[in-house]
Amino acid sequence: MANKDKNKQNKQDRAVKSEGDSKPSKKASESKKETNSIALNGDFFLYPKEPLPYLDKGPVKAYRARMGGQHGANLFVLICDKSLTPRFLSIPKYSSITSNNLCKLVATGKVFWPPMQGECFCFVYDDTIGMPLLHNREDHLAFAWKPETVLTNIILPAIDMLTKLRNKELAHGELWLGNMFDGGADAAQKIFFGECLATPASSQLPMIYEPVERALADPIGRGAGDSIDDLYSFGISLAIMLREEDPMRGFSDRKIIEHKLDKGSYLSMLGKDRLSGAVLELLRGLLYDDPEQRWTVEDLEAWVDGRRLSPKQAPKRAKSMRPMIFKGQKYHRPEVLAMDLHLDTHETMKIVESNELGQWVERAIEEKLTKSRLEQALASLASFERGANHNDRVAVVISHALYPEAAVRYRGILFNPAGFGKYLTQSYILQKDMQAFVDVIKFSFVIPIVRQARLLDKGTLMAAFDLCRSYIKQTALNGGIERCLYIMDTEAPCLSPILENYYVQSSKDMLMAFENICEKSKPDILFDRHIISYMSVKDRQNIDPYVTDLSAKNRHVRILAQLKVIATMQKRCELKGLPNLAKWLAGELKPVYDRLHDKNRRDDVSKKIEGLLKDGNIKSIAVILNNEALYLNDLDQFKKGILQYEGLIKEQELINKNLKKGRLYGQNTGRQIASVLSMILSMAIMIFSVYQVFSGG
Amino acid sequence: MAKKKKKSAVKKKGLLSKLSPKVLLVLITVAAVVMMFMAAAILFILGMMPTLAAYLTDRIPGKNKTLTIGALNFAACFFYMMKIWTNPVPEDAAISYLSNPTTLIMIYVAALVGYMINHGVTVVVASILKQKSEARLNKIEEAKEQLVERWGVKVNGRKPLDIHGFPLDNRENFDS
Repeated sequence: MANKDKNKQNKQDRAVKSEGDSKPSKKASESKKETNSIALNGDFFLYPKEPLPYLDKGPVKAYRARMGGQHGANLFVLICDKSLTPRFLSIPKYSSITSNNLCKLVATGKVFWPPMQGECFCFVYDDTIGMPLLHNREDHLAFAWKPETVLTNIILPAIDMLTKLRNKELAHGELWLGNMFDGGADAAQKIFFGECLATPASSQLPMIYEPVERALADPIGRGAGDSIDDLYSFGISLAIMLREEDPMRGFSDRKIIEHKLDKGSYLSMLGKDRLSGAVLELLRGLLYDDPEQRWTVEDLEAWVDGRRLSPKQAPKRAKSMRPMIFKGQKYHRPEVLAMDLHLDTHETMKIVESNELGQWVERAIEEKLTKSRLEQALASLASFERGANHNDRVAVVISHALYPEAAVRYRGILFNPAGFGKYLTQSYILQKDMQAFVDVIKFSFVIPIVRQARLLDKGTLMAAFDLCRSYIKQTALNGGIERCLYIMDTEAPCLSPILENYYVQSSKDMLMAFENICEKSKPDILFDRHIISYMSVKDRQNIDPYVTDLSAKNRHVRILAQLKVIATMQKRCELKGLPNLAKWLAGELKPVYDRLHDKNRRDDVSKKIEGLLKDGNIKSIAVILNNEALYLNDLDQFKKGILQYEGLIKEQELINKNLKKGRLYGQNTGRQIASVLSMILSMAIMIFSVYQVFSGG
Repeated sequence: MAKKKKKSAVKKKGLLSKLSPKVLLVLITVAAVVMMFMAAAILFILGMMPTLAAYLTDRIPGKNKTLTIGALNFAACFFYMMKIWTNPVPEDAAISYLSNPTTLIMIYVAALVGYMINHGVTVVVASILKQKSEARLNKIEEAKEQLVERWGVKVNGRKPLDIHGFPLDNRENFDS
């Protein structure tokens, strides 16, 4: 009932808003609004001063939006939070789903969002979905709706949507009452399912809607589930709609999990509520804790068609008669013990090394499978290298043996392997301690867990962990935790502090961001570990050939490498003019010019480059400076210059040496000239003599 | 006595053996000519005395001074020798020229002119060369400055360079 009141209140709010729109001064106020809006892709106007808090998804805030034109449709926009990577890869699948009951995606893109003082990614949706069925997570979770209403208004539309999602191999991950909408009609006559793209899958899903294994992970570390998990969430939503009482009201998250483990999800959710046969079947099937036994979309369709599937009673989990004492607490279930082993790893080591745990599993649990898993885990510990956090790693392995489906619990981070990437990204953005993540990658104790996990794409995930292990130890600019982040979270934008105010998802975005940065200021550097790692993962051809040069000790090599990278990016992105970036680069080129020995050549090259700045053609600048012949020719000429200088020195020394002779200098030459002169004169005299004698003179 | 004769014979034999056959032939020819033209030879020998003096006093390798004086000295002698040889009675002409002091004075004046040419030209040439060298030194300095301006100080080759032509100890372009 409380929920209904809230619905009414919200509807009134919306009604007040729509009344405001219909006032006589509508035109004037509209034009005023246009000035207060932010354009997206040229066709949409977003209104940062008009928040729609009932559509918020945690830190992802909703605002009013409108399509361009006089009668533009009413829309709402979700402004993504940088710490919650949107599901970019799922956008094409989501857009291609044509369901009347799924919130319609109208546009996506990046905008400069004044409240965040930076560029943000946003999703624009059709605002015809109405109000959420549940406004507050703390609301009373029992609607007591009639089964017939639920069948007509909820289940039938849901089957259509779930089938389409399944066909597209897209897990929604946000099927809960807070993300289901009434379509603006009373009493949930037309249900709408909210979007699932603006945040990582399941990160905004309250834990009660998750199967126990997934609920054990931190929300951001749950990872994308599959349609089976969607069906469980849907089952929980149905149970809340149908039940009259909430048997777990006031329970803590921990208690809810323990309750579900103890009683099973169905009994935990419905308690003493008595449902009719058909609905009971449906809920039993959807809330089956074993995913292998849980109903699929086909089962759901069959149930609607009238086939009765009669799901089995959920098998009870093993419970020991004799408790295991850990940290002064009594444990009867290995799953619950597994949840707590990471809390005191010293104590964990004690019960492992004293074989207290082994004996308990063998004698008190009497479950062969658990015993066998524990024995294997204990055997694997022998290959564990001692050292930092050894006990924590042992706790992970033992926990996994006791409860293999549960999330990994390591030094305060609780995650499913598929959710590791998003968790890593968020922790990095929120500047949390990264050591636990480094350990997970470095010691690769997660790989056997991935191997046994219920995942569609185990191979890719294992390969990603393997790849990260090789990069985490690297000190090169394209290695380290930054690279691992982009390998593990393929949807993460570039998180470089240089690009703090930009949302960079591609090389083109990056170049445009660089251009913008250079237009506003003169940055010290444009390439850091993040940018290099991001490029190396996303578009390796742009950067990998130059990574060594980018970290060179020699400044001119680094600058030339930056120039080459930007030129390659510009060429591959087919971006023509980047005048501000070109200007910045030209300002950094002095060490490169200095590599030319010849001042005249330097001046020539510099003038040529100055001429290219206006067009922002960085490719041409790179062509000029990346010319081996230019440097070889310069070096050749320089060597000739050295020889010339050497020759001049020698000549100078010789002249000085001769001049030091004083009066004697030049006398030898003088004498030789005198001799020649004398001989010429004597020859003339002799010829004259002969002539005179023979002429009779 | 017999021993002394033997020694002088050995000495004579030694002197002759030191001369090469060519020189020996020239000496024999000169001796024959002198015997044939005794008067002219005496004039020539007396006339060429300044050259002999120059030869003996010229310690500079190449003996350019001797050559300068000797050339003009010889030209003057040649003039009179021609007159003697073309005379129908050369002996008489030779004695006539020998007895006339003007002959030797003219020959010695020619040698003196040779000496003056040697001295004067040497001084003038040395002075010109010195001025030229000084001008060249200035030009070398300018050329060096131009090279340094174009190629940088490293062109002087005083510092060891790497294979790219940059000083090995240059840290200008390196990050610490």
